[in-house]
Amino acid sequence: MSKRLDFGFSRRAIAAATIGIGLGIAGPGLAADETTLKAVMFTDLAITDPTFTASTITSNFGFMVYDTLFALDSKGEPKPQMVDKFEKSADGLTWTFTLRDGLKWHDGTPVTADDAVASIKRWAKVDSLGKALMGATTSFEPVDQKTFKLVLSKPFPLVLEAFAKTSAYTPFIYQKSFAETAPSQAKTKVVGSGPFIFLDEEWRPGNKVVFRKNPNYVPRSDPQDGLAGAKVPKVDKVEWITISDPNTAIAALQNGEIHYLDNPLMDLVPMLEKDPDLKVLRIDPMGQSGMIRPNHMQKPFSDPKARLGLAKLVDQAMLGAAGGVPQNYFTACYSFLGCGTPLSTERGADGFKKQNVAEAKELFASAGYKGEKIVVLQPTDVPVLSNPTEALVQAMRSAGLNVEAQAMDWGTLTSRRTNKGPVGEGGWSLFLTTGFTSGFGSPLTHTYLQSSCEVGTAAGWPCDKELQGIIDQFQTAATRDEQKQLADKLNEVAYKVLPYVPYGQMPVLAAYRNELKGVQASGIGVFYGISIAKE
Amino acid sequence: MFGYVVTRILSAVPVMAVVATIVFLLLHLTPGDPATIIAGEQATAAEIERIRTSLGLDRPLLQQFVGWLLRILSGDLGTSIYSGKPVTELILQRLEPTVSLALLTLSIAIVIAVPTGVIAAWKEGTWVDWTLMFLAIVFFSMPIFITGYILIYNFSVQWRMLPVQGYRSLSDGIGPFLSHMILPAISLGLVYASLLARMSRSAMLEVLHQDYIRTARAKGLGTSKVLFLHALKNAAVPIITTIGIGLILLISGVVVVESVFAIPGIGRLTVDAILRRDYPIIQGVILFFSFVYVIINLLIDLTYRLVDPRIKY
Repeated sequence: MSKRLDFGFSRRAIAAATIGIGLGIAGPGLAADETTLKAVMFTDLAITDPTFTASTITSNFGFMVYDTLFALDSKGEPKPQMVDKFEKSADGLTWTFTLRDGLKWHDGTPVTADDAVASIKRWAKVDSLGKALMGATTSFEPVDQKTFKLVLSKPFPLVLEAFAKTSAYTPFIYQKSFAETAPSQAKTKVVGSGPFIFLDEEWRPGNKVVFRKNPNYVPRSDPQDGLAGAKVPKVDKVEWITISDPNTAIAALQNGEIHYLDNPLMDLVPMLEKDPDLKVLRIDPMGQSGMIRPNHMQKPFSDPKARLGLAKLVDQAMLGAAGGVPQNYFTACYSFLGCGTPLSTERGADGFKKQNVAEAKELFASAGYKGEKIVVLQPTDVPVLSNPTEALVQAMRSAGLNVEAQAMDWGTLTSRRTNKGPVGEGGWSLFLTTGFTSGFGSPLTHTYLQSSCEVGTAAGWPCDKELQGIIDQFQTAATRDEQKQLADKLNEVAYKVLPYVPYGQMPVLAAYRNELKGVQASGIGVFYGISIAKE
Repeated sequence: MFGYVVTRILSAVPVMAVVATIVFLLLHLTPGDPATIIAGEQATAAEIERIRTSLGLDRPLLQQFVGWLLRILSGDLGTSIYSGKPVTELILQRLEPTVSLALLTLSIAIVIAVPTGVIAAWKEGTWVDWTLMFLAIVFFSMPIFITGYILIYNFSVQWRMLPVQGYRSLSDGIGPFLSHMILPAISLGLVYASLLARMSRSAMLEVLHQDYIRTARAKGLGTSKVLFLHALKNAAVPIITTIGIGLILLISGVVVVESVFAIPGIGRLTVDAILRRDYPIIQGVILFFSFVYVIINLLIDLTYRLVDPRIKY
């Protein structure tokens, strides 16, 4: 019996069929409509109310659809945005603001001073700087349709900085009906006055967020500069597409399926820089700062000597490399107020710039450490934190510390770190995290620096009256010189208290295709001012 | 027959009740808290508490459970803690891509695996058999995401033949649909086809040694008729069982493939919900999957009857 099977297909027929299928389905490319800008952001949008959550992507969303009274320019200076003009009384206690002409909500109704006042009051219930501002406020009320007045009980030099704050919580201006909702109640109806209109009916959580150009937006006349100046939407639509796999996102950018990739995988950036079709921009040059947060309430890190020992073990460059940050993008930074910020200083950091294992051992010994278990929380789903954690654990073990790295996802870590108990009762000893350096510029907005000994401080709960006293003095430091003197003092004391150990700074990058024109280092991925050149 | 089908569907109710209870308890006992995630990286304890209260997560567990059960009994799976969108709407939005991917994968796998298994059995002990089974082991062992990356690199990045990611509905046309689904379906299908090919080979080998096959050959029937009309039909029951089990396994594979190819399906919805501790979505999706499992098992049992008339219900 023959063992040859004959199914009746010739090689030629198979080849023809293959080519036929190929012709039918090839040619991915971008859609013919070139005024739709497709971007992949660093994460998916889940919540649309920027005062309900401090999530950065929700803040980015806010910059698309809402507007702010003031905005930071590329030098970090607050400039009027929705505000046309403002006056300050001679004693600095009375501020009068007037809104620009032509501001309209996406439903066509005018933006009023009532809206602005109600929005700022809502924001001030959750934001630390907002709370400080309201603590110094006697009254904050509308005067007429376009004017509102802030009367202070004591000088507060950061009024404009507060209104221009970019890190969460950002004081976006909402419609009064929205703003009167308690900040603990998330609002889902989005009616903004910003350069883009959110299309709720096209929103597919986990898939895409769609914005349409706001045809009624009246931009400022001064040119775009950072987040300040004219916000001119130049594309008809913007789509934020969710691609959770960072490798796939990069491949999609290279293949021309998306135009813009926010925060690409750091270790693949050198490859992107070599691609002639792409550009890589430091969208936020100051970017993010790394922090090693010890638990100040439990041994061994309740003892400042143990925290000093931990700081002696840190090799910032090594941790940056472990996180995949290319050398040319990594900055070793020894300033608690961030590097590149106006108040940056390295006072008091001299003994911490080089890893010193022997000294670390001595410090742990003098802190009474006798080999007790140190629990390190390791978020394995966040490689940029997980890998440096692994490297730090190795350094700690080299100093003879009994370290247990506990692997978990970020969601578990955020819950686990709220446990103030000892490690035997589900507690923890340290974890690594990052924060936007722009938020470190003022000690008042730097959450991880707060050492107020109160229940409300962030996980880690540092407690030092001297350090907190210096932080609080910034509320009344009126001149830049005064602030700089305080900053020096702050950094010096912080390197003794070590509310956290800094481990370097890396920029936030964006990679985009050459056909995008007008992409600026605005600090945040915003899409006004960007056009798509026709090929 | 009709009574049997109705009984089986009704039997899904206690199964789902048990699943619902276990899932609810497991989720709420697992570390992780949506309030801490929503509050953001630099939130204070007071801010986290404010959000926890607004979400009702500070209420006693039993109270939360009873509230959830009552809502389910009225056909309401709840709303996402994050987006505020109804869970039913979110599942329905994601159903089409996942079902399309599963069906295309299944088709590709069956088309590849069954002939491969038949040929391997027919050529038992030869280099053809060894080669095919070696390939089956290789593809079965290869992680799906590795296969996916290799396909993306070659077909999308290097040759620019196919898109890297995304989903286009069949209603947009067969070309766009296939161009987006072919690579994910192959990535997933190769694993599944390998499993099915090995099972087909085993089932065929048992049948090929039966007397009636020898008789069929003796009366002069062609090889293809012997293999596909006589042997394959009698080997079908274990193959169908494997297809059914594989379809269930495929759902777990879908999670990986949907992530690698950015397909907005139920797998991605589930993973995102788990990472964020979006309890209503996780609970809704697991309830949905448990119902799907019951239905798939029922369909497998009914299919047995089509290929083997001796089976009666």
